[in-house]
Amino acid sequence: MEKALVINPEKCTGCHSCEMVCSLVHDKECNLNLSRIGILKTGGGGTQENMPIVCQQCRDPFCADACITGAITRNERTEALVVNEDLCVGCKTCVVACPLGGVLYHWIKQCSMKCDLCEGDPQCAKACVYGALEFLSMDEWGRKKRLKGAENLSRLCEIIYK
Amino acid sequence: MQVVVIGNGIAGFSATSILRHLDRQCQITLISGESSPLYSPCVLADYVSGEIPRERVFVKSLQDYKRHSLTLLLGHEVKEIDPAKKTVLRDDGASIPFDKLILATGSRAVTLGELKKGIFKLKTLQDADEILKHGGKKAVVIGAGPIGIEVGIALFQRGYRVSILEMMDHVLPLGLDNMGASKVKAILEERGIEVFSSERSESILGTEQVKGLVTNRREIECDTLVWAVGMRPNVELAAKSGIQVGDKGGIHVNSRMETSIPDIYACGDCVESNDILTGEPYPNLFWHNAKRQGVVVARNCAGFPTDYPGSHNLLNVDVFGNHVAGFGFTEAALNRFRDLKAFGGNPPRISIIERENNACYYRLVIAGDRCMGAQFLNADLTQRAMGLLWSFILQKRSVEGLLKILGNEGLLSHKPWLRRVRPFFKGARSVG
Repeated sequence: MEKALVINPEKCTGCHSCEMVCSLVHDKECNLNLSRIGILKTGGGGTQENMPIVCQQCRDPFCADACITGAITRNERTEALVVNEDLCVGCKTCVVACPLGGVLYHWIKQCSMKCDLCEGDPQCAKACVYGALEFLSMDEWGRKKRLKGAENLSRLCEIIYK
Repeated sequence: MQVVVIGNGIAGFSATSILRHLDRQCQITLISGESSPLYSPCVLADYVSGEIPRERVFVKSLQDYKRHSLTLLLGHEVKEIDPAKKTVLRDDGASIPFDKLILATGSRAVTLGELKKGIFKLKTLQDADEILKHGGKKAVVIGAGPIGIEVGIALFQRGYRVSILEMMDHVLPLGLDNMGASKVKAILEERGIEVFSSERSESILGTEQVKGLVTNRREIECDTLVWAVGMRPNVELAAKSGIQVGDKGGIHVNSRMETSIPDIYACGDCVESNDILTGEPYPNLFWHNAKRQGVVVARNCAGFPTDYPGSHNLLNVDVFGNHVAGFGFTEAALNRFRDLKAFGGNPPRISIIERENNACYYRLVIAGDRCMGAQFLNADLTQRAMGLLWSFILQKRSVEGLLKILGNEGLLSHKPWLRRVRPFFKGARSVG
């Protein structure tokens, strides 16, 4: 079953737990600069919004096209796009190419880094206590979204017919 | 089905591997003049500088070819294609029949004048090996495109004294405008690389071994000379067999990457595909285009009709730790191609948004209501906005519409990712 990292920005509080866990798992240190996932904090005052940004493992990935050494390939088991650090020469072309900002540059290893779905068990989703990050199969996600849509609709009906 | 692929670059290899993925039964024959497995010409400068060892230039090993179970004919040139009989004639006289033929003959570096000892180009692994074997002290690189700059830096790091010569009025002429280029030039000169722009090479001194170069302004002494004045598609084989070659110098293909003869496809550096921004044929000789074209050709060969959306350029050079990136048109190029079909005949008003802050610099080129190009120098990579801006350019969205969203908090909260491009448009100095 194909699973994906699902982001619910409205639930995110911007606590950075996911970033801490990500760098801890991959680089053995809690360092926000070495995190594959990043929270985009926007707005100010009371309107602040938090948006976790992470690689979406595109079906037709542009980073893999742009990689001049063929270092970005899809892991057949987890379906994640992974960077082969032995092949990567650190040219940053994939960083420029990704429209999401999902690929980042690892300043210490001098190569690209991106979400590899932690071998099919994303730790960031486990660390998120607010449910802003979930690792769900596509069916489950669709069901959840439909449920949420139905809730919204019933709430709207209540407002209209009251 | 018998498929013959000519060329073992990234286009040929990606076509082969995708075709094998889609069709387990078909017979694939891969013919290539070079005897090494797939390697990346883009990182040859890093190999010359000594940053990476020789084995890391290779992208695939011979084992990877075995996995695709194909007939591999490395070190064999193709002499002739017979489209009527559907056969390919090898240089040793053997002929191979085909049902579908994929041309991925690639491109070659342009050199002018005769090749003496000490004169090099950098396109193939053999070229890089030859440069490394040659021990010199003073090098001249002709051409200040991305390859010229990378080769210049690589030789500088090997201990050469380096001069870079450029015919146009600034470095990286196809990627940057004047101001960004002058910053790159300043970085190069600060490290000790001489850059002579607006100079044309006139003659090469020395009889056996190169001794110097005469330009229209000066005479430069050197023992090594590298040509980096551009690439030319290899179309001789195709032209000989009656395949139509376009007026920009590449093989003419339709949107499904078919050549003028049915069942013959072409992909990679040898074709001129439609530029995604203008919709007109243009040879964009880049790795990512070749790879994608290979995929499209393989899908069409296997019977899954796929259109190629168009090629685009992407400049990405590291100049002594300073990251230079750019895509789309520069202002100078837009002025040159003002009568493009994409603008419906009337030349658009060109406006520029640019800002500089210490070592950082960016410039957006906007024609009418469309963003047509962007250039960055040391743009903050953690901002992660360059790719977003590029996808915005590729989608041909209206700048007016974007500014409307960016100016309205309510609209923006529905598209929060657009906040990342806001710094580029906010408070920028607008010229023109």
